[in-house]
Amino acid sequence: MDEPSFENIVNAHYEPLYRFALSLARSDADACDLVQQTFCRWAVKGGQLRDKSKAKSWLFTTLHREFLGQRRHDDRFPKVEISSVDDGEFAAPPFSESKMDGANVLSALRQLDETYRAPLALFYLEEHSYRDIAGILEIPIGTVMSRISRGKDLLRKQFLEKENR
Amino acid sequence: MNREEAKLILQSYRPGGQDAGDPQFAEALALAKSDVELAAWFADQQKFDTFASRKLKSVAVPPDLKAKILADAIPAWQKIVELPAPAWWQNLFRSPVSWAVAAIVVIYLSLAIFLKPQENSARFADYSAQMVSAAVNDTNHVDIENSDMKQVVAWLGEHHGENKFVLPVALNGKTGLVGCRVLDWHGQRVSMLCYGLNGAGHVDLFVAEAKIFPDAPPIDQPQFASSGGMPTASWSHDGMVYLMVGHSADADLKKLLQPETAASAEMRLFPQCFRL
Repeated sequence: MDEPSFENIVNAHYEPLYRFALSLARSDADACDLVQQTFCRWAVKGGQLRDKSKAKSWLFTTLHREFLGQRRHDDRFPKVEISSVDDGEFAAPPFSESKMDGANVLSALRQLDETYRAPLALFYLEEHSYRDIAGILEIPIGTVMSRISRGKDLLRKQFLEKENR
Repeated sequence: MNREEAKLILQSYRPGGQDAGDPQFAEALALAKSDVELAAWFADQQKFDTFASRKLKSVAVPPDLKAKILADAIPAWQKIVELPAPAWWQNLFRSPVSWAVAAIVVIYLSLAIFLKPQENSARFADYSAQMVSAAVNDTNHVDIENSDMKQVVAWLGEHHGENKFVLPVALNGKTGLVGCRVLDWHGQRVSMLCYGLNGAGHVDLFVAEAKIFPDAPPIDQPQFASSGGMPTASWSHDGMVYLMVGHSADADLKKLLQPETAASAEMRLFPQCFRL
């Protein structure tokens, strides 16, 4: 099978990559920069990837590393890896479809701590299974599951707060 | 599997049904079919997830982003693609005989390096450069965040790091401790203590056994230098080597370690040392 061209790779992945970047970064411009840097890295190093079916995971992993690298300059003290957070379970009321649009949902997601934001954004983009997410974020599978679970609780809280305002 | 375990697993089940064939979810999905309360909870979760997923995927992508990506990255891509044909010496390694010769050379060199005395690999300058790089570049700056020195010392002990050290007065364990980390240097465990100090900013202190360095810095006489653009101070004390790294080019480690009011070198460094 022919290798996909550079433009085909861009076409296939730049939109979900941008949305993932947007959930991590604090501005649209930063998200665009992250995506552009990721593809620049692909242009230089993508040829070394033997299994081209792993291009998608490679791109998401690289974007996440780029983000962590940029953030490192601002924050020298990352949070300790935790496998579970227990500060009281949130008993969410039954969900009813709200009038929130994509920007509101993104805004609620961005309010969350980055610990939860990255796995939750990848989960909702539906491009990757929880196993792939563990690979992209370079954390254990159990940690991904507990972060998705806890992140959803926090996101629902954010939704309720935004709607009650 | 109980209901709570099933809930944790089902939280990672994508709303679009992409995970339907994943056996990890089979037992939890089966339980959701037979447990009315779990089924209601799961239906609610799926409703919420479908909504959030749909909305997130509807976020518009800037119309010019693709053009920018291509404009930025394609020159680099073409440069890689247009690399010249392999030179004659690269073709050498297409033959099995060449690989065998190469393997013998590699084994010979490995043995030569292995049998050579290790002094060169334990030069303090190399150690210093690597620790500075770890302090500045590594994603996980500390393994744990904790400001309680007793707990940090206990953690270092549990993780086979050096935890018998004497801190200078500037880091007397009372304030500013942020966390710690254990690193590896040629098989030797090195402890790192991270501090945020009022007036001196962010500094890291690396502690290792002195015996591995034939050129260890002098005892109780801090040597001030710079590595990778970062100021460093190093000294030996009681069989241990200390390397302090400041995280800004203008961090004044000299002022931190040698207050002018103290008389002797040792008093300047350890007037009321914090011994663990």
